[in-house]
Amino acid sequence: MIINIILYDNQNRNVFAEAWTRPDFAVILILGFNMDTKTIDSKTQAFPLYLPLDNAAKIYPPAKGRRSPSMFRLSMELTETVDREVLQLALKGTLNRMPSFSQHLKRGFFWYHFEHSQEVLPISEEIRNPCVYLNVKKNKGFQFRVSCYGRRIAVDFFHVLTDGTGGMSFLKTLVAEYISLRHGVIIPRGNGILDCEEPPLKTEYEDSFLKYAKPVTQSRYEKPAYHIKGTREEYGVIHITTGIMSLSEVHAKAKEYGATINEFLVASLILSIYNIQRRENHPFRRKQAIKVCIPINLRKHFPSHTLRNFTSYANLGIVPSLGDYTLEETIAIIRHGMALEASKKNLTAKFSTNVASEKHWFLKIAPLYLKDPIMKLYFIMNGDRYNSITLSNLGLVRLPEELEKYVERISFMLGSGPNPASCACVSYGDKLCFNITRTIEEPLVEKQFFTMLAGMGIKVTLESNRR
Amino acid sequence: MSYCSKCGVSLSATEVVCPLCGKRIYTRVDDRPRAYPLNCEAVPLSSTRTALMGLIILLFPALCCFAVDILEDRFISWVMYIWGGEACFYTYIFLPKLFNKPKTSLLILASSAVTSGYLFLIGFLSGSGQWVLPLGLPVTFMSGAMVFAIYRTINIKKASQLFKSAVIILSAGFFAMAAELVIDIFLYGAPTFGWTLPVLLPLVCLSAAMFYLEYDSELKKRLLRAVFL
Repeated sequence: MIINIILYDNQNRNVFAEAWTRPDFAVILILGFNMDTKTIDSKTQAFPLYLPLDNAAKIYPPAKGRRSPSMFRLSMELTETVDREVLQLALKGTLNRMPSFSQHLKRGFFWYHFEHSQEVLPISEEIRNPCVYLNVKKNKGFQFRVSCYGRRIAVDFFHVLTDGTGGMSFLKTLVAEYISLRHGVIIPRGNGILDCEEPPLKTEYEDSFLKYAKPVTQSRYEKPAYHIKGTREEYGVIHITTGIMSLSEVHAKAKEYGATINEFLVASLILSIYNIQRRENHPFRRKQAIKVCIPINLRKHFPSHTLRNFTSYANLGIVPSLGDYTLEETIAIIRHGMALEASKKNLTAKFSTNVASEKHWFLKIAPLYLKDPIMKLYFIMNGDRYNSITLSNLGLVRLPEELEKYVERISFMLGSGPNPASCACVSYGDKLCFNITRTIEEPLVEKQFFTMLAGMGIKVTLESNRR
Repeated sequence: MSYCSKCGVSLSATEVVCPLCGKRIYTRVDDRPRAYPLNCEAVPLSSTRTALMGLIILLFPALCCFAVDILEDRFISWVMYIWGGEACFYTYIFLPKLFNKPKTSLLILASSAVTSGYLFLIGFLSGSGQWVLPLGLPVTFMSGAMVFAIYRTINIKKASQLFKSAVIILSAGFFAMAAELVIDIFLYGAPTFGWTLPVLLPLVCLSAAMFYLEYDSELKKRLLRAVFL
């Protein structure tokens, strides 16, 4: 049986982490030994064998299903064909530096938890349907998958491990390590690229939600949003459409409207969905609010260096029952909405509500087999209820000059959840890569969105997994 | 680089089909590999684990009831009702999980068959099984047919919600009439059509009104405006 106890860091005398340990571990604690007595490797001395899931990650294992795999993909396209053996070596070094990724997900009596794995993750074959299913058995129990195909190195993460920023740091480090090994180039570390010679830091695997939460809460209630309907594809089928645009062109167009790139893209996406909604037969569905879920990186608001989940979100959009909206109006709504939603105080209240739920006495004492179906039901009922689509923008990725010449393109992709389509974008150099994934047959969103951008004079080059 | 004249977007040199409209591109000359390979990750479609969990969950009350029944009078008596009910429940809920893509018609047929089996068991255990064949069996299979008809109606892609609702209401009315017919023949040997007429007539009128509304789009619009939809 696995029990839940609070572990104290003997050096700092602070609450270090809420960990899931075995009875023998509890005995160690009662007898006064500290956590470091159980170490795993000379390289990862301070890294605990067991790690509790962070606050945001707790919902993902119960919510995981064939329709909501909660996965995302980050990939880099190099200027040359990837050498699989060198990549395997680079992965080993990266995992030693970032042990919070080298984890197996285990069921405890009260919660899920991570168990550190010493195994080496094999490089997988690339697939046509990423972000739909992670075969944990084939993947040796790891919660992410590394694959290479031609010139591309791709990492598919289960969201339980990390968020987009943490994932990007992993990919950057992996590629930097790969290029160092392949070409013997010394790549300066920093700006998300970690030095694989250094040991992992505690701040990199802390649960920042717990650290920065305050005793304030906020209602989660919002008005339900419009949901795109279509013919559901069979399980395992995902349609990926990648639109590659010139960053400077998109930036110039956004400037025309006095908006940032993110505001411009979100507003265009909302209007694309608005065009889909107008063709609805059902009058009630025609009047539902169209809202886009915009993930917000909390590291920009809090001094956190965690590589685990530390994001919040804002659901912003328009209410078509009030009348027609122009792009300028929609941009204004997004800009002012973000100013309201993405304030430090508001974000703190938002994630503190989730932390308060986690600390609720019932959730603490209820066994996992009871919590599991309740959390799944909650996710099914509320997961994507308040947004029509998700658009995650990782922004402009910068690489050191030594690495930049080997990388041609960076791509970011979200798996679809209860909503049939998801969008993700990332910029690198002068390329903005906009990915739309869907699990319905009809290419409704991508057709509206990309033709709208093309109509504005932005050159869009499309790539897909369609055969 | 190719270009889709229909959508106004350019396509990557490795594309053979426009992902937006499905138009085939014939000018592709690039021999570079496609953006994604052909092989896919196979997603397990059946949930054998769920089906097994269901079996274990149902086995627990089955064994408990068996023990109580045996301890009571040293004979297997009422526990058979529990087992039969559990077999029905397992067939309705957990059996479909064992198959990759179960056909709805076959699932409904299996559910009707196991329900009929349970009715035969009840008849056998109670010692008065003469009602099962003329009454229980037709009503069970009629219910199965009704569920199948509703399922197929809901899944008609091009039909509107109003049309589907009208069909479902009408079929519910006819189901009630058919059920009374079977009951009357069993009880009195001839149909009497007593209680179903007050059920059938309003349902027929309602569905007729809905069909008319579906046909007359102007009336439908005026009505929607009147109720602020």
